[in-house]
Amino acid sequence: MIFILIKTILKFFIKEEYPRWYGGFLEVLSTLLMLATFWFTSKAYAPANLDQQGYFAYLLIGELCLHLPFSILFQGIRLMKRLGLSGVVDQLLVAQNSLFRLVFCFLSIYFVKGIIRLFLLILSAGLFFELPFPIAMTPKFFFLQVIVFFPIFFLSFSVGSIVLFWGRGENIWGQISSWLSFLSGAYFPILIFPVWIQSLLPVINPFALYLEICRRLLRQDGLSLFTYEWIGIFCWFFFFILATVVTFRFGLSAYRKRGPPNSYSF
Amino acid sequence: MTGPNGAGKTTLLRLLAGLLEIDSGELTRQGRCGWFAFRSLSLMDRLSGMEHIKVLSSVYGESHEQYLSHWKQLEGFQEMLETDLGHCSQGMKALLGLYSSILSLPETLLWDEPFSALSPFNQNLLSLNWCDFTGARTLITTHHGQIPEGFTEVAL
Repeated sequence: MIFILIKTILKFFIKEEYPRWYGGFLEVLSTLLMLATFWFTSKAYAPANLDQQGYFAYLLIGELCLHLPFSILFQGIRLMKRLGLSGVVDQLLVAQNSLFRLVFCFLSIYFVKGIIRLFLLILSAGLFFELPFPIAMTPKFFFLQVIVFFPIFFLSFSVGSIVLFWGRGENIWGQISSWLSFLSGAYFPILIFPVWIQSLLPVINPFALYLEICRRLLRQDGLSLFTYEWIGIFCWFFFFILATVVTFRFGLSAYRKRGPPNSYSF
Repeated sequence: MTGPNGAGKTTLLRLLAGLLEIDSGELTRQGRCGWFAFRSLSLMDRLSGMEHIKVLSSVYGESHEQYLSHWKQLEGFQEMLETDLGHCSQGMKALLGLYSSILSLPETLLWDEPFSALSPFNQNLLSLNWCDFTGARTLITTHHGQIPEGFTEVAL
């Protein structure tokens, strides 16, 4: 049944996301513009310890690794708010149907869209700029994206529950995400921070751990499961599952006590 | 259920639906319920009504075809099925919301002020052929003076 649901959503998703014939073309164009921005930024501001190509590779890998997690996170929050505003959540709750399953199906499709975007980025970088890792690493890199989808899905559902049931948190989560992205080492090495911040980052920022795993993989250092970063990621995964259970149960309870939120933050 | 604004019609309906918790007493629900309360925002604006219904019916996994032909008699329903929801009127969106509430084939329908956005023609057609349209017992809230012809019983 879940596959029928995913198939049905997928069928109409393309129409919803790309309503005009030139939608796909704009996606390609925006990918090329992003790569050009990275290329010229690296030309102008390459750090002393990296040449231009080294910094371009650094920025590109940062984008490749963090695009999908942040995209899933935001789409999940937006989706849950929209489900609430359109009354679908109430209908599902009354019919005792699973909101979790519906959100999972939608986000699976956003995941596929994210993978296509990553494929476009890799293809464009290889054709017009410079691919900073061997093409043979791509399947392993995509496999890593599949693994990371699950913890991000739980994080997204958890934050989405707060936004849906209390009507608050979307804006502040936007700010937090900017900081998480800034502090993950996507744009510059986290070694430039004071030591106490560096030691704190794995505890407060799972994206820093994930990015380190990705960089190590693309440097062809392998995907060993017993590294400090992987252990950290698994701890975060269990924390996100717990957070999902807590926020959803408490959120639903608050919703049933007070009724729907009077307003939603935009 | 009829009554003036602020009388608590919607609150009671939400209690019956399980969308609000009761402070005291006991409430027992039997069978599956369907819910409607008008919302002007749609889930996916660029999908037509029919596409929207296909997505939602795949959530419930039930066949609703037996009711569709009846609903097509309603003013604006066929147009709603073919039009992107972003371009639908409030009345057409209300029709979609009402139809969505029967997609799970509920035994009881709880409709909060369904007639506010419907034309007199649609109100009468619905209320005179209730079983053909829904196949479920239905409790609705409405304002005084909005009770269409087919309704002979007022519960509260």
